[in-house]
Amino acid sequence: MSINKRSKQGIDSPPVKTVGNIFDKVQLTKLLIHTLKELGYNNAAGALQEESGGVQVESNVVQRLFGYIKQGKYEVISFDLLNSLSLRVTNHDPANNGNVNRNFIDRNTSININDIISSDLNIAAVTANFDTQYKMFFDFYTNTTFNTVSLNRFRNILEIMILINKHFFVEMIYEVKDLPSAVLFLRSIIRKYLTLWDTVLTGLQTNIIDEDIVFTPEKVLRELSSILTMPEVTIKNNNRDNNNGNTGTNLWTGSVRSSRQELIDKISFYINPNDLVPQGRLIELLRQAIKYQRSCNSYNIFDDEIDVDFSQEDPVNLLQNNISDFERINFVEQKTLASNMDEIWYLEFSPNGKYLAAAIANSISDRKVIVYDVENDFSVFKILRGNSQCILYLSFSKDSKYLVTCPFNEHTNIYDITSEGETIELNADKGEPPQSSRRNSLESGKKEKTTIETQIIGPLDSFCIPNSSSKIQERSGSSMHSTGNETYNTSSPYSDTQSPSSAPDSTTSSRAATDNLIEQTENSLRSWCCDWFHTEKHSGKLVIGSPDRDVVIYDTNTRAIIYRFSQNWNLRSRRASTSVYRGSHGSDNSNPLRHSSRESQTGAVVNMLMDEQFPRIHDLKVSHDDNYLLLMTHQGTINVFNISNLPTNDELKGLGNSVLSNHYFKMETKLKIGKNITCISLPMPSCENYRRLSSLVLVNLQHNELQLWDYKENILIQKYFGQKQEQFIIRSCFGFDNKLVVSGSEDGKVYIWDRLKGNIIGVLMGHANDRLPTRSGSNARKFSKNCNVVGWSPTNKYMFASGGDDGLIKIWRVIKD
Amino acid sequence: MGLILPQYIDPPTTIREVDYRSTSTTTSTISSTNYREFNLRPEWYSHSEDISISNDLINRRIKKFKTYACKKCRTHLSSSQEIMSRDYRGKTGDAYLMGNLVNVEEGQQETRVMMTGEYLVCDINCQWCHQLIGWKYLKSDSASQKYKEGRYIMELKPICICD
Repeated sequence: MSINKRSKQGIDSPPVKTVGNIFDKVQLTKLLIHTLKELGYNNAAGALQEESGGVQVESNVVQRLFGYIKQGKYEVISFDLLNSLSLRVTNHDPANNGNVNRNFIDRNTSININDIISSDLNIAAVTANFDTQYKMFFDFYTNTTFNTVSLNRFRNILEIMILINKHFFVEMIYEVKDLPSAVLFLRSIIRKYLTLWDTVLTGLQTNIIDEDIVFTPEKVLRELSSILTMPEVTIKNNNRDNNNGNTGTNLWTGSVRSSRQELIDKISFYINPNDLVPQGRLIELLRQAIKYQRSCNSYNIFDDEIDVDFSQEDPVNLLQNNISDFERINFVEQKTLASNMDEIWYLEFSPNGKYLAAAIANSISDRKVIVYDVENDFSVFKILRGNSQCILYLSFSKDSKYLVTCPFNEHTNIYDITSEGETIELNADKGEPPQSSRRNSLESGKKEKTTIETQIIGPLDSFCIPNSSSKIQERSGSSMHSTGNETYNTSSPYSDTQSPSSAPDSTTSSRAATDNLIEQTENSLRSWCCDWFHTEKHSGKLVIGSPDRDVVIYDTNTRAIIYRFSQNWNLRSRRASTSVYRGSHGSDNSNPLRHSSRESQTGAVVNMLMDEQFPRIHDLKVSHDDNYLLLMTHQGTINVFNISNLPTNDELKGLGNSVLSNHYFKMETKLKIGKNITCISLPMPSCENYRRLSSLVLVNLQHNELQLWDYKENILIQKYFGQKQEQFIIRSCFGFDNKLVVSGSEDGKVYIWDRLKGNIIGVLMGHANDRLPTRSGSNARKFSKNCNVVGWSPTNKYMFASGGDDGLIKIWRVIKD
Repeated sequence: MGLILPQYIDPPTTIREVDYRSTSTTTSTISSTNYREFNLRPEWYSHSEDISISNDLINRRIKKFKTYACKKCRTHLSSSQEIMSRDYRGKTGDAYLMGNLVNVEEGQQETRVMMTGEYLVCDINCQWCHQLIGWKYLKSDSASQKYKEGRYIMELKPICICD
């Protein structure tokens, strides 16, 4: 059949070396034959092979080796055979490159050979052969002077041999079930090979950095011995690992045929692509082409590490370029919420996506937080009262039940938004004279009130952070430094009162008397930011940060502050020289390279701390696994604390609160951003790509810039430009499955970037219109038109909200054109 | 008006910071006043006090250093180092004449007649909570009062001492 199909052109025309001036024709033919085989068109592949004049996908040597393996003829595999393999590392060798094997092998016979699977192993012969081959290897190794290239080549040959050995061993156990000879084989043969391999690796000075590499002498030995002791369990574990996406070695796939194929696949990795076309090569090329075509469209957003998601809804057409017919992302305004009469400073969606809470800078009424019901067309669900001063920050608990508000002054309020409260007419609750007639959108709000009742609820719990203890400590901190190094060790906070410098001075005391006209501040700290713990074991706890140099952990179960970071900070300075180093040794058992760098980093950080007070905290976040606490300081750094050793709720019950007073949290890293930061945000955990992105943190800088950092590696990843930010606190967030980055801006627009590429996807004229005059002229202050805050819905990938100085909350929807 | 990122005024914590050599520390936030002047003597003191400053004196300065802040929201406004005179009266009572204030926004300019003459002034508010703090002298009629130009009157009622 194949002879009939053979066309004359293939023989008669002069041989064309290249196709399209670039591609080697032989390579292309190889690729085609290989792909045809992969697609199952064996006859066509054979025909093409014949017609092209015997272009072989696999070279003779490779065919012979694979034939031996398939037939189980391990006894004839020799060092010379392996040595004649053309390997990947010797790619640059011109003699091997493009070496076309013109020897025409009858394809029928080769297929026949391939089809024979024999499972009777001549164990004795194979063992004997491997033993002789070992001598060959050893002699070759000892008698040859290697350079790096040839040594690498030798190593690869050796590794192939070891793979074959290992496979033979596995076959002996699972197929022949001849344990005694397997043990003997492991002891007498494989051990020797592994030792040689180890020597070669040492000679190459290969540092095995990646812990995940499975194929090392030590691990192979361990693996094989574990198979020997309990074959069944090992297989089970191994299969489970593979199911978990752990692409380790598959030891035994169940049948001789498949496991030998597995071995061949593994060996193929070492072989020069000219001698053996890699599996799925054409598909890989097409994939790259599609990915490239898509990346040309800057509106098309995808993640780097996932290949282009070839979803059903978006089929790939191979026969044309895939640029024009791609969906383009766009943003439309879905709704405007205008029931807030003053500036919006903060808003946040609840973790279950059902509520949207917004904080209003309303100086007249004490009802400063409005909770909207997202599912009921954003009707007002609850109004939170009891905040005499403006709210800076809001945070929903993980179960979306509780809401914390951080106002200007010191009282932090916790609300249970599911609780019942006084029902109120929606019109009456606006603390502003009705100017609603000007706003059309408010009319729709009025209609909605018939469908849902709005309730005003008061705080469930209210507390403030007392100042007393920390004040003494802070004072002591400053005085310690003023008198010199030796006072670091003194525990008394008043250690320097004896110093001559503090002797009273007549003129100063009289001046100080006039200062008494000014009141001292109340004894509590402001709270400016907060975040709840996310996991079940820490439920009900939240972290509150203060610009007055403290961060506390508050437990809503016991209604008590269980931990203060400023105390920890002073503790640290005393301990610094001794225990931090020890601590880093004990806890950090990652690989040696990273270990040492991190240790030196900690050392540097600690040295700096000696001179520092606890920083003023402007924003904080708890990572979603509750292992890290990120503190944003006003000096342009982000301090990352490891809080994974915080006792859980159950442990705390047994211990009592006093236990934590000497608790010690280690500072992992300190991101030196260098400029003033206004806000930090973490990726949303609900997306499937979160595991890869979990260590990212997005920061807004004061000078027209956003930066994306990796806080575990302490590196800057991407910068985003375009938005305007000079002096105001502007907040940003991740969105659209963490593929986008959104930020407000001082020009009232909402800016949206591609997270990965950093290009602007959209600029929305959200709050750029001039503000409606809501106040009489008496309080005529200049109105800016910031877009202060944006928030993305954690559950609805397509919805986000923005709030601005114009008092409007706009709900946006992502659409695909 | 959104939220303006506030600046802070912190007392110098070490002798080193007050030392002539050190300029790199970050705690000083009073704009346009560099560290040396800020800690040792504001420029209007320079002719009246002895040039040689001992560590003793510096230590005393540190001890009595006070940060003044808005009583309502505790935004830092100024420090005791910036006091030029304590002998002033504002709208609500006693007031200080200050060399510099931070974290304030200026209101509309207007001309006011005061005891010492006519001035062009503007009210100043806390930029966070918009509380009225005092006023700023922009222009003065008489040459003898020129030194007040660009200085601030800080009323004592709406402020507090902060640490």
